[in-house]
Amino acid sequence: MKSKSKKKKIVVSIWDNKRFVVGFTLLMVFIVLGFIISNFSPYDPRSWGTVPEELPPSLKHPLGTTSLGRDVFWFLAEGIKNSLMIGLVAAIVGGAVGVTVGITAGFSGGVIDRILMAITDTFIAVPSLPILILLAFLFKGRASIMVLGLIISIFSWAWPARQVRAMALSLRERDYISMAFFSGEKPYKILFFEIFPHVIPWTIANFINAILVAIGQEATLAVLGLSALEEATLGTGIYWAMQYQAIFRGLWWWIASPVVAMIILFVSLFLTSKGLQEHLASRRS
Amino acid sequence: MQSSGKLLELKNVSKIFKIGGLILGTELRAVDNVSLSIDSEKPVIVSIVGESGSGKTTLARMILRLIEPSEGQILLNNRDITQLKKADELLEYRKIVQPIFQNPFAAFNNLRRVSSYLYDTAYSICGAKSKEEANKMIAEVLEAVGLSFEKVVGRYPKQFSGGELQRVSVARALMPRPKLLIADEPVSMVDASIRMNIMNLFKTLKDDYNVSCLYITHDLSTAYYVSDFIAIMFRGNIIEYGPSDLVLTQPLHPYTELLMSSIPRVDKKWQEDIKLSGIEVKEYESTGCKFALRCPYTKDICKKSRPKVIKTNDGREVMCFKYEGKKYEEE
Amino acid sequence: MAEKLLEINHAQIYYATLAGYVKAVDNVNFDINEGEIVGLAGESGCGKSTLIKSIYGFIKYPMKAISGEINLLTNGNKLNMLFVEKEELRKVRWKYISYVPQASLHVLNPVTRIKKQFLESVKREHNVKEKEAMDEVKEYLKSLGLPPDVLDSFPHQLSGGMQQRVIIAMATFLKPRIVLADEPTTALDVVVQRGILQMLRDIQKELKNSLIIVSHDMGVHYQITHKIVIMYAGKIAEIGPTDEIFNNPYHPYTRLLINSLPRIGDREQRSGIEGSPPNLLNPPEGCRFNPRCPSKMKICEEKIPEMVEISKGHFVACHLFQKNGKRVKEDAE
Ligand SMILES: Nc1ncnc2c1ncn2[C@@H]1O[C@H](COP(=O)(O)OP(=O)(O)O)[C@@H](O)[C@H]1O
Ligand SMILES: Nc1ncnc2c1ncn2[C@@H]1O[C@H](COP(=O)(O)OP(=O)(O)O)[C@@H](O)[C@H]1O
Ligand code: SF4
Ligand SMILES: [Mg+2]
Ligand SMILES: [Mg+2]
Repeated sequence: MKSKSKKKKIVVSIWDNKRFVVGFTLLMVFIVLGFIISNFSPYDPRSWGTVPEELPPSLKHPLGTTSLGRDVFWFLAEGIKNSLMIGLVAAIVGGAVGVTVGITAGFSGGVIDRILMAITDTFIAVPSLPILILLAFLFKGRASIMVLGLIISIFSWAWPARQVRAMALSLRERDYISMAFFSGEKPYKILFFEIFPHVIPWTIANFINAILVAIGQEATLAVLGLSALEEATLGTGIYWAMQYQAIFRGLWWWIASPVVAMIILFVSLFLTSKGLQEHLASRRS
Repeated sequence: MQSSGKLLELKNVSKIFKIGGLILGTELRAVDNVSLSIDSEKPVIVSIVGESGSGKTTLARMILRLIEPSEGQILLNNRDITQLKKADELLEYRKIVQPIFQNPFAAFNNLRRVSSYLYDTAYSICGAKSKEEANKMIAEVLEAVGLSFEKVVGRYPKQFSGGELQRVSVARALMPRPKLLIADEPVSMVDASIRMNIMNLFKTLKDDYNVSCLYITHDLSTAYYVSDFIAIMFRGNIIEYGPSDLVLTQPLHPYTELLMSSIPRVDKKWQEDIKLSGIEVKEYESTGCKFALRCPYTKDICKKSRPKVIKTNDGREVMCFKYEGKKYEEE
Repeated sequence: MAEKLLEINHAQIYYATLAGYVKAVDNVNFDINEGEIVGLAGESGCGKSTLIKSIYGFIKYPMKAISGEINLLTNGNKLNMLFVEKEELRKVRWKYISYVPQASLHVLNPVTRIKKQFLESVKREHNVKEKEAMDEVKEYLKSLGLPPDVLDSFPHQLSGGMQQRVIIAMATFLKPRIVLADEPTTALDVVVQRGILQMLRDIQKELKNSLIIVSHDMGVHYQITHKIVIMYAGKIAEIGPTDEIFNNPYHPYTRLLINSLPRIGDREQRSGIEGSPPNLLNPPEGCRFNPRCPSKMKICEEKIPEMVEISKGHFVACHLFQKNGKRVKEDAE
């Protein structure tokens, strides 16, 4: 024991992790673009005919304009904001429900565990896309950003719930949890001070992943015309470009902008999450 | 046998683990039909001795309510512990039963001060009303285990040696003045040279604080030193039980004999060589006596059917065909 | 007289830490002869593993050989294991000296079959064909009472005791002159422990080599060793023939170690040793045992006791004994 405590603690900074630095920097660009710059749009990016149609990129319209008379840049900025919002809502709701269900199932065991896991497994097993399509269909493309996020979160809690339950099961076996119980520590305190610290690193990584998946799902729905078509999102950006055959008509800036933005956003989220996971793993050992 | 006057009573307790998948998996009877009791009249130390994998920890975890028995009942003061659900019942339970874990460094959270557990216990379990009262309780138990308040309070687990930290966990367990300590291999992680200090502590607790103790170990010498009764476990069964003097000086069961002869004593050297087996898995699955494959006295019947528990007239119980129908009466 | 296989002279092996040197092995001297089973005893943190690793030439940062020599004597050659070339080490390992590390249950590679691991360790020196080597290995395992089908298993399929027996078989297969075993049975059950100790002893009898066995359990030493080295806080407290150590322990530490053991059939009140071994970053002045010693005198805090020979082969380093072997005062019990 003595020799262990004497081992030098090497302080590893998260900024030494290249993946994280690259991913996070890119992500910050998106966040600034979506949440700050988008507010300075000279016109409502959603309304039609505010700018001349089908102009290629220029100084005035950095990413060109569309056949609908929208400015691609400002539409994209607004779209990034909304897509991130959908991702956040789905990740927060899904994560919170997932962690709660997982911890409850893992720690109560018995019947409660079995019922909760049966439900969870159902949600994992059924293919999510057809059901999402069905649900979105009910809104006929008129869902608000918030509602879209909630619809997507219906499927984003199940996997985290399983994972957290597995963690809870192994934590439950740990002596220091039993020790806390026999010391009369209140259950909520055990939860917050003994268990959460172990689940949090994983939760953060999972949270970013959930954002990524939700943004992707929204885009899928949008391409099918089932998303919030009135709103600007990365998905609806692609939808309108496809509706007006932007590719065949040589309006490459219209279709390329949301697609490239989406790819870069995915990569940045992926790198951030991966880097974080690596960092937390190295810190734990 | 009437069931009053028992602090703890295990009635035909089994724990079955499913291992492997749902379909192809098998069952493992980690604890197999165990009955055992501790009187409430006079405090006693009962040792459970067995090799690793014999089911000792599983048994302890069932008594501590950390897992539920698959079969049988565990009674504490005549109440089934699996029925305790309400907060006040659980509080009451923790005032009577307290655990001591094998590895003190795994039992205390590294990031918390050791004393925070002592304060928690003082406030939540012992009902301390003020800081002064809690301090007084803590100082008292720490003194009982030979540590000083100043030396313990405010420090983190890593600042203690294994022996010291284990003493802190004994002190904490002692705070509610429990009737029963469940100590699962409490000294296997500390040096042989300081084991006796902790063993003596259990004796003191019994004599001065009326605390009974279930001492789980694979070390027969310390078990002999502290305990009044000994239960020898083998592959989930208690194969011999009785007063420790008798069990360890005139063992009945052939496995107890083997255990005894394997202790590295410092007064008598080993004579003939023993044989080790490579057949551990088979022993669990055997429908006969689980020791039959290694036993020097094996008869045909040993391999075919499971021996019953035979009570002897000197107050022992043994599970072996050698004694069936012999000079000992069967119950 | 039996041939000397190993001589340790003034060995100093420290650990470099930010706070300074941890003096884990400090001026240790003793010899090991052919045919001897030597026990190394003492509480954890006293430097036993450090010494064993150094004998094997396994010195890796932050561990540092400061001075002295640990000479491996092979066919008239001297090889100082404290300051040795990698190439030289490669030549003597497995063949002249082999090592069963502490916590050796993590030694076997979990994803490789035993067979492959065995052959790798064996073929390193032997220029034999795989098939022949395999037959030899099987034969050897059989002679040790191990079922040959362990060779086809992965480590996790074997019990802890079986893994340990396989490791010992690997370490002794090439008939080394010195076998080092660091706590080979700690964490195993008594029955398995006895089997493994007997196996080590039988191999030693067969090869007529020397075995150095580390344990903090005095019972283990009593059962199989010929000679015991008691270490305390990086120094040797007492060395002597096993029976001598148990019948006439001279050093207060040895006495306490022996008396702290419970015995079946004797319920007499016993106590462990109070306190714990010192931090070797700043060991106590004088005799390193003085803070815990019941017989402590004034000189004990001032002067490091020298090793004196009390009877043939029985040495002790304690101020209770003068150069001529006379006792200064009786032990406080
Ligand atoms: N949660 C579990 N799931 C499956 N098997 C288990 C579990 N816990 C213990 N076991 C098995 O039960 C047997 C008894 O284990 P244990 O009670 O820990 O024994 P001991 O404490 O005597 O070493 C072992 O074979 C072990 O592998
Ligand atoms: N890597 C290390 N760095 C610093 N100190 C160490 C290291 N390894 C061991 N030590 C110290 O060296 C001393 C001897 O350790 P060790 O040889 O492992 O003792 P033993 O085997 O007798 O338990 C101990 O005080 C320990 O704290
Ligand atoms: S030298 Fe002194 S302190 Fe050291 S062991 Fe001997 S009597 Fe005790
Ligand atoms: Mg156990
Ligand atoms: Mg060691």
